[in-house]
Amino acid sequence: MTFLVPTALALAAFALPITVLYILKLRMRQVPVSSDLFWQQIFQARPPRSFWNRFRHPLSWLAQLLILLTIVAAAGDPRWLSDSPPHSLVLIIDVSASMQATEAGGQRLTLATNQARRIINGLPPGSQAAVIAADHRAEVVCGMTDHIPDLLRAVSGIQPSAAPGSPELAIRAAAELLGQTPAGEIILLTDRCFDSPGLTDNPRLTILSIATPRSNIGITNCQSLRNPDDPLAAELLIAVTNSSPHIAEATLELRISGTLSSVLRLKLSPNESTTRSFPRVGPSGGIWQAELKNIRFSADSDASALPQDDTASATDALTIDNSAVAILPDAPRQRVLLVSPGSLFVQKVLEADPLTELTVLQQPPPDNAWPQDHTVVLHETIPRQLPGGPVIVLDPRYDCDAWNIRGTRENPLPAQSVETHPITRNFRLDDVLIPAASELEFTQQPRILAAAEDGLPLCCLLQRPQGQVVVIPLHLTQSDLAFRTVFPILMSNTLRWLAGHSDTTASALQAGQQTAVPLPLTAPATSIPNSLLRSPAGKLTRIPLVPDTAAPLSATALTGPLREAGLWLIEPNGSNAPPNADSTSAVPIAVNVASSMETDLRPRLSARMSPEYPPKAVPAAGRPPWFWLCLATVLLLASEWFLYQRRWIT
Amino acid sequence: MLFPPDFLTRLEYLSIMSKRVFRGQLLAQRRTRQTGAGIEFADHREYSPGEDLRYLDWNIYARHGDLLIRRFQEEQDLHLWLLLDCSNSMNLADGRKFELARQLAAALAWIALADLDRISVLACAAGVVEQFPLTRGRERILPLMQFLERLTASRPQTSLLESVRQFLHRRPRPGLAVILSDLFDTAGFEAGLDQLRFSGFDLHVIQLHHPLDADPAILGDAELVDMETGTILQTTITEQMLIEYRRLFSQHQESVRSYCARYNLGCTQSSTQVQFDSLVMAMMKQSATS
Repeated sequence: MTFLVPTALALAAFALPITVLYILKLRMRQVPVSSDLFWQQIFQARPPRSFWNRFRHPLSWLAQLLILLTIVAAAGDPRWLSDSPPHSLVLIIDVSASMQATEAGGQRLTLATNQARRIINGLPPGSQAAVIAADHRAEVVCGMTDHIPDLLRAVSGIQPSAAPGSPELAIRAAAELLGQTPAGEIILLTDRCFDSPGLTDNPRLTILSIATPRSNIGITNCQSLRNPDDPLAAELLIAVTNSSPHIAEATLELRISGTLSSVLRLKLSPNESTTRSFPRVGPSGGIWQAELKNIRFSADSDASALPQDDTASATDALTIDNSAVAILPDAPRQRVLLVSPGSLFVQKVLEADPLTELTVLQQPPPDNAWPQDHTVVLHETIPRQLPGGPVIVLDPRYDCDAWNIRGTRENPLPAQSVETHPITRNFRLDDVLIPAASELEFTQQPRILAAAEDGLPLCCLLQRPQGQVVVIPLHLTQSDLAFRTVFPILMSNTLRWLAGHSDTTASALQAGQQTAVPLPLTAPATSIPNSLLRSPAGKLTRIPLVPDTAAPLSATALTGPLREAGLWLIEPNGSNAPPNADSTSAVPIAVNVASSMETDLRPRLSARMSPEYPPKAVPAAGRPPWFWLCLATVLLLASEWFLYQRRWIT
Repeated sequence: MLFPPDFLTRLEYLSIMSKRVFRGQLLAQRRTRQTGAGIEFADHREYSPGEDLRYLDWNIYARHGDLLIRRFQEEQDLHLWLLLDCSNSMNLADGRKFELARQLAAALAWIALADLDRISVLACAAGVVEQFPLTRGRERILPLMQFLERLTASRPQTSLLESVRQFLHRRPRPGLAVILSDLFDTAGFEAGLDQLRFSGFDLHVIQLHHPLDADPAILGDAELVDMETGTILQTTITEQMLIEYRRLFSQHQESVRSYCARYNLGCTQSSTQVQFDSLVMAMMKQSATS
């Protein structure tokens, strides 16, 4: 036997005070009695303690010393001597989503951690080990150490992840931890539900599989989006995969902001995937929740029940991929200020846009007091200085700080347009009658989106630090542009592009991803150092904010990797109150498993199985020596108490 | 409070009960057997020259020629001597033992005074430490209660034999002696009681004990401090020792009872948990049935 913590043996010095306490004349409690008449008679047969007879209860003293000895020995963490030489080991525990599937003996991750504990407890004395938790990333939860309790604590603290698994990164990290150690070994505890054929070529890697093939059906994709051409139209896309050799039936329930919206009965052949879309029209968004219920596997197309012996393998073994969420943002509303001496066509075109809140003025506001959050549409009336922010100029008749009018061009022929630009997408001026157009001399070079045959700009874009300006110098009152369908398309495209609402934020993330979330703030970002992030399980963490230099009331939160599937919430304004789904200020992030690789619970990687691992280092009686020493301590304590310390009167 | 406001009322009740039910049994109407100048004929004895010829029974001399002197029983008041233990042992824990002893002394004294008997109270420890002088009349109850209230159980040791000796040195007139004590006398209680018995006193022993005297309920390491001698015993008390203690205490109680029974003495043993009037009533019932 050897002691891993020899310094703990110094606790044996407590034997001295224990012995002294048995000899020392303690200050005992004084009990007055009427007379010691009877006590004297008792002590004639059993004399009280005298100075030379103070060593009371020698057996109790010996028992106490024995208890101390067992405690000291247990603290020294003794190990059985074995023939195995010390070696270095890195344990990689797969924590990917498929490890949350249930086997006959329990959850796969639980089986893996139990196996890891057995391996750690069986390490030969002097061995070093490290623990890495791996999904598609690698997290070293315990570096190389020979302290077994630290390793066991690290294994116990491993949390499951909903992210897809890919242990290559973890294996590289393990190799770096081992360095050039010749006796180094890497053990990967996994369900082998990933495709990495190159792994088996690593000579230092041993893969211990804790999984058997299981049937599963799950949602492998869930996204929502608005039609970029029609922001009022939205769609939810859901992909469901049956990863089993059986026919799977399930009910797909779709809820929008908690209200049941649609129920669909699915029947999938073995290994079949299906994709369904659910349309929605309206400016309001919400949280879309999809859930698979009433899952049933059957043997054939007649949906007959499976044979009894096949039932166990035909139950849905993974539940976290049975639900998915996606976030559909509200269609952005835009405030528009029309300054026009009076054009019914322009006004009606802008009013017809359901996402526009229109204000009409005949003259520019006095003292150039332009509203800050409006897109300004200037028709004919042009101030000397253009307002800040996005501006659309229709039929300019006067000079301003951005251009000077050089004259009027008669009958310009539209010839070219940039069809790839969002403003001029689905836009052709070929058939439009243009009797006249203003010839402008710009103070800076514009970007021409549409031009006449002779190069006269018919639609151009001015880049200003204060905001973009789209100029359409056609004479609207003479042209039939306002009567044609191309005009509302042009105005709608221009308004959407100027509003900058090209929604690039994903409606749902795959678990394990990082993301940058733009946050609207109620106070300047510099006064809010961080925000609260709440996981689907309710765990709160603080995340830093990156202020937006252009907009003081906005910032970006960098967060991730988000390893838990479900709805994450960010409280952006630095409040200490945990965010909840009902809060109007909380910003949601949808995270789903969304991985057909994780939904498929059938091991694919061939493993070098070694079920007897480790073959020699199993401690005697299946327990480490400290366990038996602690057990002996408890038994000795109980015996000593029963014999010498118990107090009751019969 | 040693003598609460209703104490005298309860004493009066005891006095009435003693007259109605137990008259002549405990204290009331007891007369001495001294012969002398009484009116109730007792017996004859032979005449000795020089004796008063008025008591010569002339009728017998005329009939039989014998010179016999008539004797009469002298009617004297009962003398009640209350020997109250004032040693430290009577002050155990809450001092209830000494309090009950004083209340009993006051109650017995009141009953005696109400019957025109004479009473005296002697505070004893290692000897007689204080005495309330022989007195009679109901009006003397208040000075007696004041005397009892003044007494403290702070004397170092109990010696019943020495107390009785000092009492007898005062040549008291024989009567009824009531011992109020816990009888925790290291020299034994028998010698003192024997002295009183030999001196012609009627005896009644009232032995009081605190519940902690009967069952100390101490376990583990402790220093036992003898309240009378101050002796300290350091010991580890086990359950076995407690059982032995309880056996010895019971044995001590039994020895007191058997002594009193052997010499036909009154004996009352009680815990301090009972009230004094209940105890006096119990004593009266015991006297009536004995």
